[in-house]
This record gives sequence, structure tokens and C-alpha cells, in this order.
Amino acid sequence: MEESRKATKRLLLVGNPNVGKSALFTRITGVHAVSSNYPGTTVGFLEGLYRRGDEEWRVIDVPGAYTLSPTNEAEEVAQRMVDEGADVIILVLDATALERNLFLAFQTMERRLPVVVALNMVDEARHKGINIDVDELERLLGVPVVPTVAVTGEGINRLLDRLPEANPGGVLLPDQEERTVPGKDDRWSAIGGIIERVQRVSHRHHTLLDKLEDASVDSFWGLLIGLIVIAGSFASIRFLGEGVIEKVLDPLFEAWLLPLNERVSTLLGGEGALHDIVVGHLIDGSIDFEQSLGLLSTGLYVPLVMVLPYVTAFYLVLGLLEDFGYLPRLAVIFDALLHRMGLHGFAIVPSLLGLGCNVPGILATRVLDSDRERFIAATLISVAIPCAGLQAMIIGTVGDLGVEWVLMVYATLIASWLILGRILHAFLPGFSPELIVEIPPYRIPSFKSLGMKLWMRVRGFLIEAVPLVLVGILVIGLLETTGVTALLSRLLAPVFNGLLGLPPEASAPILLGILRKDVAMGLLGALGLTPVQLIVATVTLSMTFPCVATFIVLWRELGGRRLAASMGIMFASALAAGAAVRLLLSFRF
Amino acid sequence: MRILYHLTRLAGRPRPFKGKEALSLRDLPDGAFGRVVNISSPGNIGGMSGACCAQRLEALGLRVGKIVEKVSGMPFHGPVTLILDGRQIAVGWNISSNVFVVPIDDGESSNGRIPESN
Repeated sequence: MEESRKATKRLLLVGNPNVGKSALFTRITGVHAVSSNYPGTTVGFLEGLYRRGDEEWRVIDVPGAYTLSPTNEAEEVAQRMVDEGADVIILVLDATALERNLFLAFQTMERRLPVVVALNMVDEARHKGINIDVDELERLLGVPVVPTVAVTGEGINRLLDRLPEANPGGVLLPDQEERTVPGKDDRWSAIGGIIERVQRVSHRHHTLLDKLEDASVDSFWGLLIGLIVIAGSFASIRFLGEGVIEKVLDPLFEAWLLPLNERVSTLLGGEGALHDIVVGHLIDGSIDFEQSLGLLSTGLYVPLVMVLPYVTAFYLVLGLLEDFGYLPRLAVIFDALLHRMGLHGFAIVPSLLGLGCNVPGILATRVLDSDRERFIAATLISVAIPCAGLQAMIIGTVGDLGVEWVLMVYATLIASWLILGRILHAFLPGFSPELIVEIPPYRIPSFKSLGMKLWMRVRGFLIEAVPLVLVGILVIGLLETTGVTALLSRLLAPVFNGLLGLPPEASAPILLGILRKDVAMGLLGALGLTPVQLIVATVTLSMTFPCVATFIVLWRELGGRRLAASMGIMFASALAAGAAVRLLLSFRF
Repeated sequence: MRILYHLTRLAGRPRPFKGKEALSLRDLPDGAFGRVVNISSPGNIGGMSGACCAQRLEALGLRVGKIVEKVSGMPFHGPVTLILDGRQIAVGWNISSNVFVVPIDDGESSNGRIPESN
């Protein structure tokens, strides 16, 4: 062990949202931070280590901020972090929007801390015909300025080599002798002076991407494109998921897992409690992956075959939209609708994430500005947004009845989302701020970062879901053998039978939804319900009881009191929606 | 036939729009350029205190004197999208009603995306 190691130094990465800070952070620390093309992903913050000789740096990726006079929570965090001081601040400036970025730069330099400037995205600036005189900028700011392209790593080493030159700097205005940092009132005039001297914008024709950018937020084309993107996303997720299941995984499991199950089944004597827990019940004398409910059969089949392909396909499509930069446009399109639900357009992003898994969706509600919006958005996600696992099972189970039944479930969930949002907006005190958002340019996604993000998300699903499914199946087996299921069914029968028209057995799967909704959905499918009962049960299961992981993040994000309120709303709306669907369908069937 | 109108609108050049009166971003036609002359801060815009809203717009670079191009306004009191220094920015409908511009000829624009000149 070294004896007197130098104390760890503090290195802050400060910059506007979406200037490539997270990518730079990953380049410096080697820790894989999720970097995406959406402003605000780094609410909260990332921290990592960087070693240089015998120096050790603690690198902090400060939440993206437009100003250090905070206008939202992320900026408050940024301001606090900068005010806590640093040994060096790397100011990450977007070369394609230098003027606006210098505003934050001056605010930071006012703190008189050692600064180095990373002039990022110089490649994109060149494409846009923006030419920046780096030497002149360095002379005017009085601090090292290094052009970088964080996503490819260009310039990063030079940036790090110049860390020792970091200094508080100061602006050298053309008609002044001394360096100063312009204060609040003459900030913009100083910025104007600098831009005039260092930036040349050359003539450039509109590119196809420019046209697409404008069309995407057009009042007519934007809506059309939005519709196509959403429909296309769902179609491709369905196509990919189904294809992988039918062509690859199903045959694979038939060939490998089935013989294994059969061998274990024979070994355990074909019946008995242990047999039922490990392999499951035999359905008509053989093992049925969907209905046997054994650890080795259903326990592996549901998460790995029925759910994993859809989850992967979903995150692939979402990652593409994210990295291409489409999501903020979707926020613009949905703003008018969401505004009537007490949210602003931004809330569409957490909601979409919730379609993959409610947990990251609810975590992403942090990008919203007020507590009120966060409560509305989180509650709506946990009530009315089915996660990919649940959706896969809904399609797998209800889909057997025909597409119109699946659409009925989706229509009910969408209607609940809209109605509940409207109700919450009307009755919750307070108001929700309006949209002010910068929309990043479209970018062609890099396959590497796409792949990395996809892998992290899929790995997260595997680590979290597979053990829980196994636990769920185990619990179901135990409850069944000990007779608890029968008792619960009797106790809840009045509600389920009277209000929802469901047989008492349906209460157990719906209660077990708290472990994993996908497993619970599989159980419902095995009950032999009538189509109407299956739809009512599916809607009730989807809307009630968040799964345990969702419950925990809801608790953490909302706190005990508001969690209780959210749960109350959830039960009421689940029962109301279930009863309403039953009533509506009773007219037709 | 409305679709034909939209097709030509997308492909064509921004309609020239000249006037001397200041009008709000909300009322500026799509594709027109304007110079910001006033950002009014009433007690409360778009659920924020006026001062806070103005501060936020300033931090995004939207301030008096800047030239903006309006891209679109979404229907049903949806947000207004504009181009400022080559970047798209979207602001809520109420906020857009409080930002006033004087329409200018697009040739005068020093916008990041310089319009093709023939």
C-alpha cells in the first residue's frame, strides 16, 4: 500500500443539457453511463474515478443546466454542486450553439474556480458550416479550450493533458486592458463581442434532416409523422418479438427444456408436492410450458420465451427513437393533450418508458418540474400503463380470442389513462408549468452506444425479472398446496363475483400480480374464463397492485403519504374500470 | 385537397410576411421570421412566475433583439416551435402569447440556418 497518496481531487463536468457531457464522462472514467439524445437524462448525477499518475480524481457529471440561477430542480442541483467547489471544472460547451452555451460558461467563471473548456461536437458544427477560431476563443476566455468529439473520443486525451493548465480565466474584451468576468448586466454584450470575433457561419443549404426536423413538429405533418412512428414502433416490436418467439426460442425450448423436464418428472415419480413445484402439474399427462406452473417449466418459459423477446424489441425501438432525437418532438406533439391532464409534453417520455417497465418510467418522472406533475405522471404510469412483460402476456393470452379483444383491453387502458389524468388535474391543488424545451437536432445513432444501452436494459430485466418470476411461481405453488389460495378466494369472492362477475379462483392470480404481472396473466389464462371474464380480469389485473418493484420506486419517489393516496386511486380506478367493462360488454354478449 | 396544401407548404419556401406591427409569437405565421422586441412578464405565465419564465427563456438564448423563425404552432393551444440560432425550441402556448416580435424579411435573418438565396 502506498503511504501518502494524494487526496482525491474533485473534477466537475458542467454544461447545458444534451451537449455530450455523459459521453465525455464515460470517456474519462470508463464507467458506462447511459448517454442519450434527450435533455435531462442525467437528473440525479453520475460519479466515477479517473487516475492520472498518482493523482486520483473524483469525476462528477453535473446535471445539465442552462443557467446557474436555477429555474428547475436539475439546475438547483447543478448550482449547489458548483458552489461546493472543485479542483477543476471542465466546461462542456456545444460548438453548434456556442452563444447560448457561453451564458452558462460566464456564470460558472464568476465562481472563480479553475476551468478548462471542452468545445464539444466540433464535427457537427463543421457540418453545419459553423467555424470557430479556437485559439482566439482561448485567448479571449483566458482558459484552455480544447475541441472534442466526445462520442468518438476525439480530443479527449488532449483535454485531459491540459487539466493542469486550468485557471479561473477572465474575459479579455476588445477595448479593455484587463480580464474581467462580465456580470449579469453585460453578459450578453460580452458574449456578442466574443461570438463576433471567433465564429463564422458559412452559407449552407437546408439538409434533408433539417426538413424532417421542421416537419416533425409541424401542425399537420408532425401529427402524421407521430402517428406513423407510434404505429410503426408497435408493429416492429410485435413483428420482432413474435418472430423470435416462433422461429427461435419456442423450437429451442421444445428441443432442450422439454426433454429435461420430462426426465426430472419421471425421476420425481410424476406426481406429489415436490414434483408440482419443480416441474409443475401435468396437463393431460404432459408438461405445458404455459400452464404447468413449475419452476423448471413455466418459471423459465415465461420470462425467457414469452417476455424477453418483446422487452428486447421494445428497448431496441425506444433506444433508436431516443438516440435519433425523436422523443422531444413527441413531447411537442403530445403537449396539448397532456396539458389537459396537468402535465406537459415532456411527460410522454416517462410514459413511453413505462411501456417497457414501470420502474424506469416512474424514475424518469423526475424530469418533470413540479411535485404535482410527478404525482400525476407516476400514478398514471402505475395504473394505466402496462409494462412490456404484461403486454406480452396479454397478447399471448387474450390474443387467442382474437385481435379485437386485445384492442378492447388497450382501449380500456387508454381511456382510463385519459379519464384519470383529467380527474387528477381537476382535483389536485396547484398548477403545472408550461413547456419550455430545447429540441436537439436529429442525429444518426451510433450502433455502439445503441447496443450498449440495449444490453444494459435487457440485462437489468434479466437480473430483476427472472428471479422474481421463479419466486412468484414458488409462492403460487406453496399457497396452492397449503390451501391459502382457496381461503383468499372465498374472502374476496363478494368483490370479484359481485362487482366484476369473476369466479372466486380469479382473485388469487390478481393478488399475485404483486409479484409479477406477467406470471399472474399466465395464471388467468389457465383458468378457463369466458372471454368477457378474461377481459374484465385482465383490465383489473393491469390496473391494480403495482408489482413489487414498481411499488418500491413509487414509495421512494412519492413518499409514504402520497404513495397511500396513489394506491387508493389505483384500487378505485381498477375496480371502476373492471366494473365498467363488464357492464359495457354485458350489452353485447 | 388540404393534403396538397400541406405538401406545397412543406416543399416550398417560407411565405414572405412583412409587417411593422409587433405581434406575439403565437400569431406569427408559420415560416415567418421576427425580431423579438418584448418579453412581457405578467404575474404568472404558463404556471410559472413571469420572472422565472423570462429567466428560463433567456438562459435558452431567447431574449430581446434575437431573430427567430417560427416553425409551427400545434393545434388545440399546443406549443409553438421556433428556430433560434439554428436550434429548435418549443414553448407552451401561453408563453408564446407573451413573447412579441416584429416580423422581418427573411433575407435580414442572421439565423443559424441561412435560407437559400437565389
